[in-house]
Formats: sequence, C-alpha cells, structure tokens
Amino acid sequence: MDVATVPGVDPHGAPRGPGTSRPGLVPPSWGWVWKLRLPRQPMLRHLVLALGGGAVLFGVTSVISSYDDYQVAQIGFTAVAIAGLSLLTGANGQISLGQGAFIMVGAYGAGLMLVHTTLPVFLALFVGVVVSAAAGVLIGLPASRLRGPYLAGMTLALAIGLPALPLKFSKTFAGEQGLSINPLQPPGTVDPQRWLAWYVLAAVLIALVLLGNLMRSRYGRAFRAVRDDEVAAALSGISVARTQVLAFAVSAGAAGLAGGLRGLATGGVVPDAFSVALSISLLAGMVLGGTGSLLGAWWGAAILVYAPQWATSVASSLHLRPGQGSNLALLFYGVVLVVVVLLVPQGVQGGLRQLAASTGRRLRGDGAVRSEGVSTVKPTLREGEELP
Amino acid sequence: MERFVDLTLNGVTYGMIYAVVGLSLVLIWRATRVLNFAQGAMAMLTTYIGATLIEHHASYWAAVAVALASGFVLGGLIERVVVRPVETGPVLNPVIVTLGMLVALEALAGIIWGGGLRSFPAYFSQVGVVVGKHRVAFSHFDIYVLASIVTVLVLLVVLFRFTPLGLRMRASAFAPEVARLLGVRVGRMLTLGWALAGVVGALAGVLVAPKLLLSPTFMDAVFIYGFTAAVIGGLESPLGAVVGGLGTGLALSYVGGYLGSTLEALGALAILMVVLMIRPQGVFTRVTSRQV
Amino acid sequence: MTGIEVNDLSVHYGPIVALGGVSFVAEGGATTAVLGANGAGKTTLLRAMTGLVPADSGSVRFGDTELTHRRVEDVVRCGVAHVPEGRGVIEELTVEENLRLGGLWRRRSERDSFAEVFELFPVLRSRRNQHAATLSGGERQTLAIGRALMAKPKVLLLDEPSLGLAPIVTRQLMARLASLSRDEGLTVVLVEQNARTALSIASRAVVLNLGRVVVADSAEVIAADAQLRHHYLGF
Repeated sequence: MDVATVPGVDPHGAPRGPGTSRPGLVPPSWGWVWKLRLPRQPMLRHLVLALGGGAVLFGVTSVISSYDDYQVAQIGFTAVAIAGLSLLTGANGQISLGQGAFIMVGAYGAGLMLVHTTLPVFLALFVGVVVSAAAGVLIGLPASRLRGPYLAGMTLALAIGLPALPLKFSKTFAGEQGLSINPLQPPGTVDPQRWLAWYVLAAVLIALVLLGNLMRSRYGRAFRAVRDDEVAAALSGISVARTQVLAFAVSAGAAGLAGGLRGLATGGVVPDAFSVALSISLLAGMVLGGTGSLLGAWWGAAILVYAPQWATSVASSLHLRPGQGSNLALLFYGVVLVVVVLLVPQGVQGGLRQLAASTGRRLRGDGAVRSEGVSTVKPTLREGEELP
Repeated sequence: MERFVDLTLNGVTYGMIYAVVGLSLVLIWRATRVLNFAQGAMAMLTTYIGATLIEHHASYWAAVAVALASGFVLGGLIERVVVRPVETGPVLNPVIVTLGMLVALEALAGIIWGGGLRSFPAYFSQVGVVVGKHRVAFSHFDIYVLASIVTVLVLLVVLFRFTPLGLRMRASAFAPEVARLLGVRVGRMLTLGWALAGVVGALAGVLVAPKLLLSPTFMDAVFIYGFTAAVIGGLESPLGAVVGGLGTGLALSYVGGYLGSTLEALGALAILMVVLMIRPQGVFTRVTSRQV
Repeated sequence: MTGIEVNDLSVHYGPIVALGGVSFVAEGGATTAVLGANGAGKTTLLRAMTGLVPADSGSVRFGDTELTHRRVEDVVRCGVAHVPEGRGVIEELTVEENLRLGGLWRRRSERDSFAEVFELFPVLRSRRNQHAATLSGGERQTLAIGRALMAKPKVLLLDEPSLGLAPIVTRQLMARLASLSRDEGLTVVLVEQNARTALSIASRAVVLNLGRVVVADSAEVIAADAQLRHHYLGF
C-alpha cells in the first residue's frame, strides 16, 4: 500500500482539509475584511496584481532618487530573468545553470538591433526575446533527453562556453569591448533614470502577467505534471519532450527580455558580464525568493541587487581591502544559500505565505496551526489556488 | 608531427587529472546521489593550506600530506554537516547547497589569501625530457603526476573490491536500506565516501597547482572538465570517469592546440552535448528500466 | 531462549492508522506467523519492529533489551535479522559478497559462517561467484535467508518469503525454516499472505486486519477456525 496514493494525505505527512472550526475572534461587522480576496479568474487576477503593483511602483519611483530608480530598473530586469528560471526549474523541474547564457543571447540580439538598425526600442527588445527563445528551443531539444545532474552539467557547460563566442567572432560582436548602446530618450523633462525605471517596469510587468497566465494555463499544468511524474504525464497524453522544450523556450525568452533591458540600462553589452557567476546568482536569487513563485522573483532580485552594496559598506566599515568587499558579498551569498536551503527551503515568498496563512488562521479561529511542509521544488497547490 | 605528440602527451597528463576529479565526483554520486559542485573549490582550499605550510618552511611532502589529510576531514565534515540534511528531498536542494559552498569557499579563500596568483612547488623538474633528438612535452613532474594518480586508482580499486570496508561502502551505495538491515552503519559509510573523494580531490589540486598557479578560482576549469569526464563516462562508473577524463583531456588538448585556447571551453561543451545526445545517461552506465 | 514482545505498537502515516496498538508475543525458539489480507499492516509491523519505520507509540522488546527507537543498524546488532519484502538481494554484488556482508558486523570466523550456510543451502555454494542478479527467485530467497543467518541471529523476521515462488519451492523453503527453528532454537516471525503454508509450520499465529490484531492464538486453533479463515485469511 503506497501512502502517496491515499487521497487526502500529502506524502510529507501534513493532512489536507479544513481545520476544526471555533467561534472566530473577529467581530462580525469586520468579517468582510478577512474575506477580501483577489478575483478568482487568473487573467483578471494577474492584471489586478500587475496594475496595483505597477501603480505602487510608479508612485515609489517618482519620489526616490535617480540612482535608486536605476536600481529599481536593475531589480526589474533581474526579476524577469529569475521568473523565467523559476518556470523552468521550479514549475517544470529542469535544473538549469545556464540562464546567464540566454540573457547574453537576448542582450546581443537586442543590442545589435539597436546599434545597427533604426528599430524602435520595444521592437529591438522583441527581437532579443525571439532570438533567445529560439536559442532556448535549440538547447531545449537536447536538454529534453537529460535529467538531473546530466542536465545541470550541460547547462553549466553552456554558461561557461557560450560567452566565448562573442570573443571568437569579435567582428560581429565587437569582442571584448562589446556593444555600446545609446540610453533611452525620455520625453520632456523626465529624469532619464526615472524613465528607464518606468520603461523597464512596464516591460517586466507585462512579461510577468504573460508568464503568470501561462503558468495557470494548460501548458503550466503540463509543466508541473511532467515535473511531478513524467510517466504519469506521458500516460495522460502530454508530450514530455515538447513540454520540456517549451519550458526552455519561454524561460529563455524571459531571459532574453532581461538581457535587452540590461543592455539599455547599462548602456552596453560586454561578454564579461555574462559569466557563470551570473547564472549561479540567478539560481540563488530564485531559491532565496522562493522557487516557483513569480512574486518570489522580485524578492530574489532585490536581494541580488542590494546585497553587493550592503556587503561593500560592511567591508569598508570593517576596513577591509577594496577587493574584499565583493568577496564578502560572495561569502554572504554562499552562506545564506546553504543556510536558507537547510532551514527555510521555501524562501522569502514561501515563508511569507506560511506566515500569512498561519496568522490568518489564528485570527479566523481555525483549529491548530499546521505546518505545510513546503518543499523547494514542489509547492503543494490545491485545485484553483494561485501561485502569485 | 612533433606538435601532435606534444599535444597528445599534454592531453594525457591533464586527462588523468580530469579523470581523477571525475572519479571523486563519481564516488560522491554513487554514495549519496549528490553532484558536488564544490569539489573543485574544496580541492582549492586544501591546496592553499598546503601552500601556506610551504611558505612557513615545511617540506613539500609534509605539505602534501597535510593537504590530503585536510581533504579527508573537509570532505567528511561537509557531508555530515551540510549535505546530510539535503540528501533526501527535492533534487534542487543539494545543487543549491553545493553551489553555495562553491561560492562561499572561493570567497573565503579570496578574503584569507587574496586574489593574486601564487606559485606551488612541483618538487620534480617540469622541463620536458629528451627522447632521441627531441625534447618532448613530458617532464619528470608529469611522470610523477601519472604515477600518483595510477597509485591512487589502484588503491581505490583494492579498497572497494577486496576489503570488508569497501564492501560495506558499496552496499551502502547500492542499497542503503538493505545494508542497514545487515548491520552496516550506512551514515558513516557515506561520510567516508565524501572523505575519500575529498582526498582524491586534494591530490588533484596539488598536482595541478604547479602548472596552473594557485588562485581562488584555479580549480574551476579543472572541475568543469572533470565533471565533463564524469558525466560522459556516466556518473555510476568509475572506469567511465577515467576513460572520460582521458578522452576529454586529449580532445581539449587538440582543440586548444589547433583551434586556439579561447575555444577550449566551447570544445568541452561540444563534447558534452554530443555524448549526451547519443547516450543521455553517459557511456558506461548500464541502462535500467524504471518500474512503474 | 528469549522471545520478542510487541506491546501496543502504533504507526501512523498522517491520519492513516497503519498499525493501531498491536500487541503480541513471539515465543523464543518457535515460529510465529503474522497473517492477514493485503494492506493489513503485516509489512509495516516488521518494519516497525526493526526500526525502518519509526513507531509513534508502543514498544518492542527482545528479552531485556528495548528495541524501539533504536537505529536499524543497532537493532540488527542485537541479534535480530530481517529479510525484507522483495528479499533485498544486492544485485551488483556476487553471491559470496552478499553473504559476507551479512556476517560483517559479527566477529565470527567467516569460514564457519560460510560452511554453515552452504550446508543449509548448497545451491549458494555452486553459485558463489556469480552476480546476484543472475539468480532465480527461489535462489534469491535462499540467498537472502542465508545472508541473514551469517550473523547467527537469535531472531529472524521474514517478510513474505514465498512471494513469487513456485509452490514446490515454497514447500521446501518452509520445511527448511521449520527445521532451522527447531534445531537452532531460532525465534522466527513469519509474515505470509499464503496463510495455509505459514500455519503448517508455525506454532502460534497473529491475524491482523486494518492495522489491528484480530486474534493471537496457537496456530492449530486458528487453522481450525473456519469462519476466521474465510473472513481474514482467504481459505
């Protein structure tokens, strides 16, 4: 008798189902507050979240400094790269150490368009996305035959090997110097960094809404089905290979957008920027923020953007030598990664969700608080529940 | 022709180093089903420890002995403390944990010893020997490298095939639950597996450091190529790691020699992809069907 | 000859009760059969006795020694051998290596252990250098039991040894088990779906249903109770 096949029991041992009810601690006239929910329909829900988030971000970016706006832009494109990785690794279960390589493809794709043609910026970005997605298909095809460590190995080799290409074909790709990209021209008297932040955020929010919808659609269900049990998925008529390749293509496309935006933000595309360290840090950001979660991608991105700054200031207050600051940041990453996986595998978003759920339960007076036993790769979802 | 011979010998020497790194990865994989991305970084750390001893006037052999011993301790410690909790559970977790260790160890080395290059003594002459009228790209040091690696391989084979301890370790790797039912302390065997892999990695570190010069990231490429060797051979097969290592070493030597060194990494990627396309589970892995 | 005493043993998987307060005594030097339909909890009982599955409450005692909450390796080193469901023969090792593994924790002379096991199961001697993967079902069963005997255990727990074996092979196996128990004074706990065969060699029997003990009595009494047999044992 296999415990996992018994309905109503999560293999990790946490029982599902409603808790016992007790009279609520909330007076009836305020009960509706706790009942406020986002709309159930996924498309609508994502739009509301995006518009709401967008409005908040618009407000915030309008008042903070120019440099802070630049960092918000950084967080934005890092988040969409992490979101793509989350889809591939979290939802579809394919461990990829090569997201950085796809970012590079998109950066060069969009960058070359911006440098050599007069295409409007958004079209150049679109080209970057398409090119990366195509690369995603190319890589996804062989990758679909690989599992676990073999896949990790191949993507790692990709992350290391691909940045050598622009150096080899330096005529087209401007070699080590890289491409130089003109910054966005803001309308009127808007500060350029602020305009950049708005542009990036708009692009990223659109992408995240699309990603979110995809995750909720039958394709998203196919991703998760293949992740959870390939054989069962195949027996239900899902083409495993096609699903894997699609996941690679979409996540590469998201990375491509990130690359194009990054090129705009930093004013250039250099091969050095796309080392293995980038891929590893994206993986780290994904785990820290919460694997498989699109909101978690923001947390992860924020950590990735602010950590080096924080580390440098700690380093200077400790009077370390100049190079030590970056080493300290790396040491911090490494240790935090290990500690987070050992102690809090669900990352920030998962942790917050648990906290909210348990607090909500306590306030509503539902029985004892049970831990959900969330594992990093497979968040337990009930039918119809959102993965924000 | 001479160039070909030189490239071949070069390929064999480096190939054996990749083989031994790959072997350490296979050891760990067979024991705990974890791919240790930090294996190279651990070897880097133990090599730095050896180098520090040499700077404080220790003899070469004492320093190497200490490096190997610290490899043993480091490997066992990391398994027991950091990897044990994630050996069961989602496969992403050990990946993240070992990557985290990789980053942390390299950063730590950078903080303690600085990012600059250091030399590590070779003890034997690194000048090519003279064969007939030509000076070949094969030195006394290279002979020493090959000899130590072969010695280690032989010792490992003896350990695993002919000793009770090796039997226990194999049983713990093949069937941990059954092994426990036979009184084997499986946990200790797993830790020992990592400790042994740590020694093997440390050996690779001290053997390659004189050639590559010591820096916090000097084992990165070696790790990648050793990893390639292990994956090509199939993570289950020690023999596969050795064959894969030699093959990778030779192929990379030719690529680097004839097509330029910038393409070396791409060469490894290409080899990896080609092999995995043909045999996704590695060349030497016996295919077992999954029971549904 | 001490026996095994199981007291109020419970194992839960979440809200599912795999074992609900199981109590019985397996007499020293005798064979006790554990019977019941599929899913009754027989395998879980054995796994909880050895510690492969943690007990939520209750205890397992072997003489004066408390076995509950010990690590599996330590339970085995108390003299309890467990031949798991599916035999657990390690295919990548040879017959001889499998056997040797069984006796490693004991400091007995290997020669003696091998001699005894080969006398009991001559087929193993003839196949000693073959990989265990090449053995037939019946041969694997003898290997698994032989391996368990290498450490001269005092208690032998067997989980469905007759599974997948031809009836004639099963009969031979059961006869060997019976004589082992008799001659060596081995305490045997035999989990079997094939209740008829098990009852023929057991002195006592415990019938489980849905994780609980239905009846624990002498084998003859249980075999004679037709209604009980129909209801819980299928014959």
